[in-house]
Formats: sequence, C-alpha cells, structure tokens
Amino acid sequence: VDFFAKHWGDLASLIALALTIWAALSAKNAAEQARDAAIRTRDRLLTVDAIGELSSAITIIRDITRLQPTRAWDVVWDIVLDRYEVLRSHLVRSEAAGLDGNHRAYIAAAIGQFRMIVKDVEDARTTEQRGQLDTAVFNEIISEQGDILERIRVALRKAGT
Amino acid sequence: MPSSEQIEKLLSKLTELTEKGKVAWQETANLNTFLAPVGEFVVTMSRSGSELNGRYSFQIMDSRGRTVDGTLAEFASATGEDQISRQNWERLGRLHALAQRSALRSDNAVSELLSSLEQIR
Repeated sequence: VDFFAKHWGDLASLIALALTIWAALSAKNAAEQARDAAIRTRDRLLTVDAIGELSSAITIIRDITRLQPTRAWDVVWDIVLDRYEVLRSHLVRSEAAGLDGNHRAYIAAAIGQFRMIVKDVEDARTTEQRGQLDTAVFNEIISEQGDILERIRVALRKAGT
Repeated sequence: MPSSEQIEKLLSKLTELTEKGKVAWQETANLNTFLAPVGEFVVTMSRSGSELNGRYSFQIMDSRGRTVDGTLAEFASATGEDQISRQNWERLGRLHALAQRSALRSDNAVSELLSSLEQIR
C-alpha cells in the first residue's frame, strides 16, 4: 500500500503510455484495413473495367466476322478497318486495366494478330488486289482470338466473385 | 537499333525456349508467319518463298501492335551469301520451323496419335 502511495503517479503514467500505444496500434490497424479495402475496391473496379472492355471487343469481333465474308470491299472495308481500330483500342484499355502478366501476353498477341490482318487489308487496297484476301482465314484467326478473350473474361469474372 | 550481337542472343534464347515448349507460338492470317507473345512484346517469324530458298524475317511488336525498329533480322537464300549470312539464314530457318511446329502443335499431335495407336490391340 505504501508502495502504491509513493508510486501511483508513475503507475498512472505507465497505464497512460500503454493506452496510448494501444490506441496508436488500433488506429494503424484501422488505417491499414481502410487502405486494404481501398486497394480491393480499386482492383475490383479495374477488373470490372477490363471485363467491360473485353465484352466490347468480343462484340466487335462478332461484327467483323459477319462483315468480312461479304467481300463487298467498297462498302464494308472502311467499316471493317474502323471496327479493327476500335477493337484494338478496347484491347489496349483492357490491358491497361490491371490484368496479370499471362492475360496481358494473350491480349498483346491478339493485338498483334489483328494488326497483321489490318496490314494485309491495307496492302491489298493499295495494290488493288482485294480479291487476294482470304476472309475465311481472317475469320478463323479472329474467332480463335475471340475464344481466348472469352476465356480471359470468364477467368476475370470468377476471380472477381 | 539493337546490335547484331543482341539479336543473335535473342534468337538463340527464343530457339532454346521454343525447343523446350516454353514459348507458345500461334498461327496468323499469313500462312508462313507465326507469332508469339513474350512479356510485353510480340515476336513474329515469317518466311516468304520456299523452305529451301526463302527469305526469313524476324520482327518485334510492342503491346499496341506497333512494329519495334522494323525488321530486326532478314536473310534471303542459303546460297550465294557469305558464311555468316548463311549461318544466320539457317538460324532463322530453324526458329521458323520450330515456331511452325509449336503453332500447329505437331509434337502433341504425333504423341497423341502414338498413344492412340498403342491402345489399339
């Protein structure tokens, strides 16, 4: 009792220090939780963005596969080339929306595939050899790429749930 | 512009990894052009003309589909060139053949066919 009487001030200081440390740790923990929640929300929004961009890309691929076989060059090719450019933009944006390395590699390959088709079409237009374009092969390649994009979209949906 | 030494290293590494099945080549709209994603880039390996006397070219595209630095290696014909050009032509020809096998999954097809044949009694 005598000890407490002599040192109650010190004890009070120690308790106050412990409470301060506990409060600081709790605040840090809350801040970390808030930061983690913010990161999760940002990642989820990026995934939603990527899914949206991929959905638009897949829709455009379907448009292109319908338009290409008509071979009505003068009528559809400007539209088709424009569609390829919009498709490329969607893929570039999906790639920027936080996909992992593996998915990014597939997107880069798809962009490369579409770029090569566009070059073939542009070359054929320049040299007036539109009849040489094999639209069946173009459709086969872009359908395969569409399947790959669909698989990435499904994987992102699963990861996001 | 990368040095020829860098390109040589790049081609050697690509060949080695393709042999090990670690680079996934794809068919493209062009019959003799194959494409593979490698990190942030895409490499293409093309041949125009015949296997014995064709022109091979190797290109790199960035992730937006833009060709990086144009054609990085291009060699035509195995005959009538100096020894280094011939070696480079053979090196590109080998990578092209491996890329084709990878894209067409020839090795898988053969091993699956073999295993199917082994199951037939």
